[in-house]
Parts: sequence; C-alpha cells; structure tokens
Amino acid sequence: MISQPTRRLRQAVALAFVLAGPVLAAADAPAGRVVDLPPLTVSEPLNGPPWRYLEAPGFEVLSRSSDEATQHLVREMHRLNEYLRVMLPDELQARPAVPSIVVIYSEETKPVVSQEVVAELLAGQVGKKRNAEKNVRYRSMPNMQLNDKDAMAFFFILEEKNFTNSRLVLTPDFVRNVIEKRRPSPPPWFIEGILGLYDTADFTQSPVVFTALPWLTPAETKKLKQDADYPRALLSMPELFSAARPPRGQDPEQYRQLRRAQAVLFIRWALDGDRARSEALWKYVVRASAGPAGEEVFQECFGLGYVDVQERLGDYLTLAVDQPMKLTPAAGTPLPPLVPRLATDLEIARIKGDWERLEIGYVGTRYPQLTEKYVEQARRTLRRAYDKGERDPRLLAVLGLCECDAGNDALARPFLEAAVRGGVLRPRADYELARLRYAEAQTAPAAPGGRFSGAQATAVLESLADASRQPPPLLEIYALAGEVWSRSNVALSRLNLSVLEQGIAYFPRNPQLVYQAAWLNARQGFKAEAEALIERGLKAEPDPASQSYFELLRSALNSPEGKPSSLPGGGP
Amino acid sequence: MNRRLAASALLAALLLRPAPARADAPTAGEIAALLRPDRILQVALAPDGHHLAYTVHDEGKTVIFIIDVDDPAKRAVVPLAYDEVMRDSGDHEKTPAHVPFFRWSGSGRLVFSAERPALDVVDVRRKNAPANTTAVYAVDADGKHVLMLADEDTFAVETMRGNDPVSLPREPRVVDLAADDPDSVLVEAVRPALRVPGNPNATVGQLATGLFKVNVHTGKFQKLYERDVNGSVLYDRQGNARILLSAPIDQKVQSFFYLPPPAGQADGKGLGQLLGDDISPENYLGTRTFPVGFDPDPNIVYVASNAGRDTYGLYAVDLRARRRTGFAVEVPGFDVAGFQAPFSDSDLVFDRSRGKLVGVRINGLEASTQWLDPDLAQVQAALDGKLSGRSARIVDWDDARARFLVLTSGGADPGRYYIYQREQDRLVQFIRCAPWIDLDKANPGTSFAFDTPEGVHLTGYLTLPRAPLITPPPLLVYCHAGPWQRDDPGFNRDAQVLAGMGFVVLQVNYRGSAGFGTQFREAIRQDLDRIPLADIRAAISWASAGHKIDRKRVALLGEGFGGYLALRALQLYPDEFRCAVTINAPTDLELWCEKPESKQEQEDDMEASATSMRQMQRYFRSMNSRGGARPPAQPPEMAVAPVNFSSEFRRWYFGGDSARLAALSPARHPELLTKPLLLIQDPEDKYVSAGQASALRTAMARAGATPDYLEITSEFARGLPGARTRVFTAMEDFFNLNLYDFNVKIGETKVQK
Repeated sequence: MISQPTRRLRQAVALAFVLAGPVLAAADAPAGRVVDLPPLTVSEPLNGPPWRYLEAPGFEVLSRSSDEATQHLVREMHRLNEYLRVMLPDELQARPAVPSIVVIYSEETKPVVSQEVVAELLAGQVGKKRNAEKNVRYRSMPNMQLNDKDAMAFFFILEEKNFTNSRLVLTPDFVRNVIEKRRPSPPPWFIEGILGLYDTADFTQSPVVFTALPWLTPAETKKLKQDADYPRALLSMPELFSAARPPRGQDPEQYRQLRRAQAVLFIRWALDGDRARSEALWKYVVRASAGPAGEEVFQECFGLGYVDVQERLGDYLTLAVDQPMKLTPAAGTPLPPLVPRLATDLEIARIKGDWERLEIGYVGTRYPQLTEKYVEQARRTLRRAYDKGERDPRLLAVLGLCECDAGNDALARPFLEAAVRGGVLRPRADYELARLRYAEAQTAPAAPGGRFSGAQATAVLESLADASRQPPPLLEIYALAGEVWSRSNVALSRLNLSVLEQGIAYFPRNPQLVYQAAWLNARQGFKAEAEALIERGLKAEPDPASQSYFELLRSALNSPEGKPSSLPGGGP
Repeated sequence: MNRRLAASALLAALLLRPAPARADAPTAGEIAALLRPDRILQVALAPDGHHLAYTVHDEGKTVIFIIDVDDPAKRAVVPLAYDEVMRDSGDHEKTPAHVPFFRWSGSGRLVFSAERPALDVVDVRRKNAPANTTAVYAVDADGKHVLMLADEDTFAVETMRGNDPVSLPREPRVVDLAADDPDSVLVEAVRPALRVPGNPNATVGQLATGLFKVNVHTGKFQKLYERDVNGSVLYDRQGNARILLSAPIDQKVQSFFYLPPPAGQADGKGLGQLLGDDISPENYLGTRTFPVGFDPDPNIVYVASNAGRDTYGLYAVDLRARRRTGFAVEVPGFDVAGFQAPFSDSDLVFDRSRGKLVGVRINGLEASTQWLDPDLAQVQAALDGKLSGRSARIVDWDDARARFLVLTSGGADPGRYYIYQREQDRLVQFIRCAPWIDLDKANPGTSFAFDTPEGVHLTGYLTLPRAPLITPPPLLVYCHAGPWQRDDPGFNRDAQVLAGMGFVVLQVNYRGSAGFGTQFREAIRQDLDRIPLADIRAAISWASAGHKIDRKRVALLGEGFGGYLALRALQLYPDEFRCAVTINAPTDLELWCEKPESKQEQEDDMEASATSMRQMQRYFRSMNSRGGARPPAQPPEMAVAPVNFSSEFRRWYFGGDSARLAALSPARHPELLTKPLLLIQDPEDKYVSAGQASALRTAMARAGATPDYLEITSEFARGLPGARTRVFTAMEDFFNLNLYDFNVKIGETKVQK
C-alpha cells in the first residue's frame, strides 16, 4: 500500500488499491517496462523485528516496521481521511463497524514470495510476452488494499529510510471504494463527479489545491480560457442527474464525457462557494441517494432552481478552467497518542490471518491454480492461535469466514456459530451463518409443500436480524430475508416486511429487492403497500424488461381472480 | 471639556450618526456595474443556421462578431463605432452607437444600421439637419465585403441655393428586408421638406419622405416612393406606401389616409374605422383602432383595436374582402400591441422564409409569445420545459427550423442567448448580456398579481434584498412615471441597485398604468392621487403579508408622475412613509398644464412670436413707405406655434379645473410635507421643467423647510451609467440617513462635576 516517494508527486506516495492494478510508477524508474506483482505473502523471514500492534481510531495495525514508520503511516492515513472531508463529508463515506486492518512490513523484512508462486504469477500475468520483452523488471507492489463486504484491509511494505519524510496520497480507487460502499449508494453522477474532481486534487498539503478544471478536451479548455463568450453546451440538470441513455442523435461517448465533466463542474461549483452551498450539496446528495429527488428537493436544498444553477455553472466554467480552487480542511479530531506495543499471538493470528484470508478471494479470481496454497497459508496463521486455545470470537469469525471463502461451508459453520454465540460484531459473520442455516433448511424443509417451518425460518432470520443491526448494510441480508419469507408458510406482519423496506432504503436502485418486497406485500394482502412499491419500482427502473415485471405484478394484483398463488414470482 | 462630558458627547455623536456603511454595501463600482447597459444590442441567426451575428459593446466601442456556430473559434470581427460624447449635449459621458437594424438577408448577407445618436429633443421636422448620424451596411458571413449601403448623403434632397446646387442630407432608416427580393432591403429617408419661398409656413412640419429598395450586394438602389408628407408612412412589405398618418404640425388631430395601391392590390379607402380612427388628445387613451403593419400578403393589414372591448386585441383586415378576417389575438387583462405608436410592428413575428406571420409578442405580467405556428409553439413548449422559471424568447431561427436563437431572462439574470439544436434537443449558451453581474450577488426578483380588498386586480414586481442591512428590511416603493406607462417584466437594473442597498423594492402597476385595458387606465382620472395611492398602499399590505418587511421603514421613489405620487403619499399618509425621493416630479399640476411642456415647446412659442413680430414690422414698414397714400394692406395673421400633441393631451387629461389641480398639487400645500425629501431635477427635462422643483422648494422654504436637492443632466434619463451611479449613490446616502435612522433616543447630556 505504500510506494516509494517520487519526485513527480512531490514525495507523495499512494495509498493504492490493488484491484485496479498498480497505480504508481516511479518518475525516475530506469528504462524498460515494469511489471508490478501483488505483494502476496507466502512465507516470511523468521528473523527481523517482532510484530508490533497499534490501535488507532478506525484501524488495527500489525507492523514489522519501525515504530516511527508505523506511527507516521497511521498519522498520514488519519490526515488523508481528514483532508478527504473537504470534498466528501463523513455522511457520504462508507464507514464499516469493523476497524480496518493494516499489515505493515519494512522493506528489509518483507515477506518472501516463493519462487514457485512468482513463476506461476508471472506466467499468468505476462504469459508469452515475458520472453519476448527485454528490460522487463518485476517487483512487488508496495501497497495494496483488499476489501471484504464489511471491512477493509491494507498491506504495506515500507522503505523506512525515505518513508518517514514522505507524504501519502489516496488513489482514486480508494476514494471510489469509500463512496460506492456508502449505503444508500450515492447517485452515479456524484460518484463520477467526485472522482473527476479528485483527479485534479493535490492532497499533500493544506489547503488542498484543485488544479484548474480540464474541460472535455484540451482544445476546448483552451478556448474557454481565452474567450469568456466561447459557447458552452451544458446538459440540463435533469439530464445530468439522470442515469438514462443519451438522447437520440447524441454520440454516447461524448454524452458520457460531458455528463462526467459537468458533474465535476457542479460539485466544484458547490464547494467553491460559501459553506451554505457545500452543505446544500451534501444535503441534496443524501436525498438523491435515498431515491429520486426532483427539482423541488433541489430547490429546498440549494434555494435555487435547476435553471438557476445551470446558468451559474455556465458562468462558473470560465473561472473553473482558469483558476485553481483551494479548500482548507477543517480542524478534525486530533489523533490520540499512538503507542505501539508487542503484538500477542492472538492479534498476529487474527489480523495477519484475516489479510491472508482476503488474499484467497483475490488469488482465486486471478490465479485459481494458486488458491489452495493461500487457503493453507491463511489456515496456518489462524490456527496457530486457535490451536493454542484462543477462542476470541473475532478470531473464530475470521476462521469461519476463511472456510467460507475457501468453499468449505461445513467447516465454517461451527466457527461461525461459536463466534456469534461469543457476540462478535461483524455483519458478514452473521450473514454467512444465516446463509448456512438457510442451506440446511433447504435440504429438509419442515413444512408441507417444500416450505420452511417457523423454526427453520426463525433460525435464519435471527442471524439476518443481527447482521442488519451492524454497518455496513449488506444487500444479501435483505435478499435472503425475502427469500426465506417467500419459502415459508409463516404469516407476515407489516412490521416483518418493513425490514425489506429498510433494505430498499439502503439499496433504492435494486429492482429485485423492490420487486420481492412488493410481491411479499401482495401475497400477504397488503395491497396498498404493494401498489406503492410497484409504483416505486416503475419510477426508479428505466429498464423496459424490469418494468414489465412490475407491470405484470400490478395487473395480477388488480385482477379480480388475483390470488396470492397467481402472483408472478421471480422478478427482474 | 470635562472628560466625562466629552465621552458623553462622543457617545451622542456616535449614536446620532447615520447607519454606518455595511461591509457588503454596494460600492460605487458595483452600482455602476449593475447600471451598465447590456453589452449585447442585437443578435441574429443566419438563414442557413451556420452563422450567428451579434453586436458587443465593450471598452468604449461597439463591434460585430460573426461566428461559425459549428466551430465557434472561427470568428469574424467587424468594427462598428467608438462611443462618442453626443454632440450639442454638454454631456460628460460618452454614448454608445445604436444599432437599430440587424438582420440577415435572404441571400446570406448581414444587413445592419449604425446610428450615432444626437439629443432627441430635436424634432426632425423643425431642423434642417438630421438629428442622428446613421449609415446602413451589409457584410458577408465571413466578415468580408463590408459595403455601406446608405448614409445621409445617399438619399439627399437636391435643390438650388441661388445658382448653386445644394445637397441636403437625409437620414436613412431601414424599414425591412424586401419581402419580394432576397437581395434587397427597404430604406426610408426622411428630412424636413424644402420650404416654399415666400410662404415660410406652407411646408413647416412637412417631411420629404422617400423609400428606396437597396441591393445588399451592390448598394444600387431604386426609388419606390418620394413625397412631402405631414406625418409618417406605412409601407407594405413589398415597399409600396400604403397608409399615411397625417399629423400636421398645427393641428391636434392626426388622421389616417389610404394611399393608392399598386395595380392588383386593394386599398383601404372607405374602410374607415375598420382600419383606424383619427387620433386626438381626447381619444388617445380611449377607444381606438389603428394599423400596426402589413402582412407579407399586401392585401392583409394588421390592426390593434379596443373597440367593443376593454383591452387592445390584434386583428387582421382583408382589404380585398373589405372586412376583418377570423384572425384575432386577445389576452384577457392585457393590451396586445402598444397603443402609443401606430405603424410599430415590433410585436409581430414573421417567418421570413415562409412569408407569414407566426407569432405575436405579449407584454403581460411576464413577457411571452403567442405562437400562431404549431411547430414553433412546440419548440416553445420544449424550451419552457428546459428553462422553467425563465422567460425564453425565440428570437430567430434558421430556414430549416433546426436551430433556434433563444433569449432567456428572468430570475436574477439580465439575459443570455442560447442556440437550441432541435434534433439533439440541446441548448448551447452563446452569449451573456451582462457577464459582469454575478448571479450570486444579484437579488431575487418575482412578479406578482393579486386582487385588493376593493376588487382591483393589481400586478407588479418585487425584488428582495439578498443581504438586508436590518431584519426585517425596509421597503422602497418605486413608482413608475405613469400614468400611461407601466413597469415591465424582466431584469430591472434600478430595482437591483436599490435591493442591493438592502431594500425590498416594490413596483406596482397602479391604476392609470398602461397595458391593462381602458378601464384600468382611465380609473385614475376620477382621483389623480388617492386612487393610485390606494393601490400602492394595498400592494404594500399585500407584500407585507407574504414577506418580512419593516412597515415602520417604508420609503418612496418616483420619477415623473411617480414622483408626484411620492410627494402626495408623504402629504396624505405621513404616518406610513418615512421619506421620499422624486426625480423630475411635477409639483404644481396647474402650472404644469399651463406652461409649455418642454424646451422645444418654449422655442416653438418664441419662434412663432418672433415670426409674428417680423411680419408686423414688415407690414408697418410697408405702411410707412406708402405714406398712407393707398389703403393699408391686410395686416398679417399672427403666426401660430406648432401644436405639441403631448402637451395638448396632458392638458386634456388633467382637465382645466384650476381649483382641483391646485388642491392636488404638492407645492400648494408645503406645510403637509413633514418628512425628509430629496428632489432630483434635470433643468432640461422634456416633460417637467425646472420650475416644478423650484416651485416646491420655494413653497417649502416659506413654510420653514428645506428639502435636499440634486440637479442632474439628461445623461441620467438617457441611462448613462456614470450619471445614474452618481444619482443612486446620492439616493443611498439619503436613505441611509433618513430611513436607517435607528431612532435611538438620547437623553440630555448632563455635566457632572
């Protein structure tokens, strides 16, 4: 996750996101192509400094680097989070309840990747090209982020000599992840706009400086700079906010490009005003995340209509392409004293094992032939503490999740049952347990007609209820709840079904969830609620195929012979 | 001085000072920026839709830009004129050139006229030289081949002075593009007619009027019409003179005459009231019909009429059938087409390529267009959807109707031009009328309409201060210079400046205002002051009910008759208004109606007297030379001063009841003026002479009061930003002192030993 500082980025290093591949190339790198390999641990040196543990707000750190470097890294991460708020307030960021784990090695003690693994990785990554190209250098990526449904994990290899004087920057993919994981998810225009704006930001200093805005093409930008009267074709605000396809006669790529550029312009305009204007933007995005927000909502937030703002954007464009914008981060929460200490065996197993567990999924999608090695590695690490009698629920949860990720549901369940009994707070652990119970119920439905009995349903729903009480909200929780209800004979109250509506509030753009909730309400005889959900689905879902499902359900609901059994199941 | 006494005195001084200027109070520069006129005077889209031409006034000059719509970086620049100090004006500021005509010919040449204006107090009928300096040009879309088509000399009147040929210049005015020839433009040239030797009065007021068809590529022209006329001529769109509005300089009544039509066309003779009534001071505001303009079909003439109805509607008369057609544009509550100016067809929208009337502009509560063409109505609907909250005016379009030039205004925006690309359903912003105005610093404005408890339907405009000085903010009632005028929709610079000073600005179309029908216009005559003031007070109550307003801080500002109303409001309702500013306000109605209205009228009177004197002197000399040998010749008739229609109308409107006028005159009751007053007066004002301000000042001085007084020049009335800034800055000082007085009561200073 840490890279060597580069001159080009003014000693900045990136907090990178391996899912997007390596994002930082050294400006002073020698000639020839550089292939970055993911820093996947297979084994590590027995010698070297011991593992140190550090707790900071939002993070649990396990480090084999110096305390100074570790503290510097944590301070930088804290600073970056504070700076990020100038363009993305907390309320619009995903914040899982589980602290993010950070695993740090120093360059000197970096983990050894076995030659066999490297060979296989390289074969998979570059294939035949490897022999064809000369001057190709291979190196491990210095930093990486892996995500679970309910947590984030970071891995760093620090070159301590230079690192303590360097500054970090966030990669765009990190920022994307933070926005996209927020529930309900912000509208696409906002995500695109924030990422576009972030591309222009320099996060190494305060105030944060955003360069003059590049507009569509360099030539277009130049013309706008030179001539305040140069025509500007902006989308109307409804077009900007809509996810609809480009109108007839428009080039789709140009239209997409314009929509993205205008989203950046709009966000920048909102941030470049007084505090009230940026507050208005946050308020509007929160409203628009929860569902369709028309001009009335816009007016309520900004005190201006769509056309008022469109005019202002046209005027502001002249300034934006010419001048940088500076935003000063507010004085944030001070970081408490960072006191590293020796890590316990349990902490080493749990944190390092969790990171290695996350590698399983990553390797599995890219290098399936290596999956088993990584499963073994993770198991080894986690079992080291378990075998010594450690029964910490968090460790048990990771053990259970590790087996789930490895595809061994049977091995996973005892760990998860024990973790949940121990009171672990991790929504994915509760969800996975519910899933396993559901799978079990499926093999032997206890009610007639292949349906679940009340007890079977309750066993699953209890776990889902626990999961739903912890952030971040997971779509799977609500989808599974709907599935369980649809397969059980239990009479449902409105209170029961309101759980699905809670899910819709978190995932308003998911047509399946809306359809499932409408269908269940209809089946239980809550016609008005079903109608309202159908209406919502029709309004929110521009896809004609999905719309036809809702229309079908509506006609069945309103037909004279409409019986619960005649309602079309499935969904978009 | 004792230290404590000194401290008390200092405290008192601090408390008594007018409210200190706010940190965000508008600076003189900001006021000047708001008052700076639009930089865009004219815009036109080429018939092929590929070129957009517009004028820009900036940095002391006016230029034309012609841009390629598809590649806007390709731009041709045609210099037009530098600003100049208007000749004979005594101005300090320079005035930009006017561009009265700016259109693309059917063959793709841009035709425009440039006018360096002179003082318009000079009536062209009384002068030997044209008032303005105007020239007509044409240019290609690439900015090349600029050709002057006409100037004052092009259509000069040739005559002899003694034995020498003399060429008398004649000012050209573009009437229209010729409907029957894409390469030609119709240009009218007018100057005072030559006086007949020996009978100087015979042709006074007659105008040598010619109409020429000018080729926009070559400048060659063909004379279509030439005649000395007593008034103005309406031409059909082929260039034939069809109707004469005869307005002899010595008569009160103006009449329409129908000129012989070209072969194959019908004339209006005998149609009488179907086409137009005589215009007299008595019927000017009453029931009338008058021609507005011709259709591209020369047998169809459009007329405005309020006969048989309260508001003016627009109708068409078929000269062949000798009756009105089924065409009618009527808008309940609003006059369609102004009643002041016959032969003014600026409200009619024609599609040049299709050769037909397609829409009528409506000056309602908001500006709008009633489209007669369903296709354009559809485009308008699309634009209204995209530009909700704005007035979107389709100004021009290409022949294929693929691109439309659209002017938007409203809200806090002074205006901007877009091209609407129909196929892509896309609006592209091209030009802003006043880019120096920051929308975030402009004050929100809105129109309103409501019915008073007495059942009077009132309309107007309210501008709210973005940053009031105090909460709730004070109210400033801005009275327009009616009667027979009105407040118009759209961005109002004055209201913006005043709202920028922290006022809620209320403009109300009180009864007597124009544009809302005869009954509304005439209602004021029953009670010249209390009826409009009742409407103003009702509007204040209405505004207070819906907006936070400090009813204890209500001030008035009025120009002309509006200033008169402000004075009367202070006199009649002193508890409701804190102070007032008047600009060129009549203060003594009796005096105002008796005295000549303007300097021009004074000059006319003096000239008539001098002429009579000279004639009498000649008569007596001839008597003396004869030595009484023969019977004396008939004494000459006294020369009569030309009739000033405006003065005649005013005298009729206000009536001849001296006692009533005296009772209604603020200057006759100075003791009632107990509130602070700022009188602003242009001594050269056309309508209200300096005597009106001095009458009030003298009367108030006798009553022991002294109003503030500010003398201005006509630069203010002509909208020159420097002059207006000075006046508005003075107003701000006055209001700060008299309206933002926080009314802190200070006890008597006690000297403590």
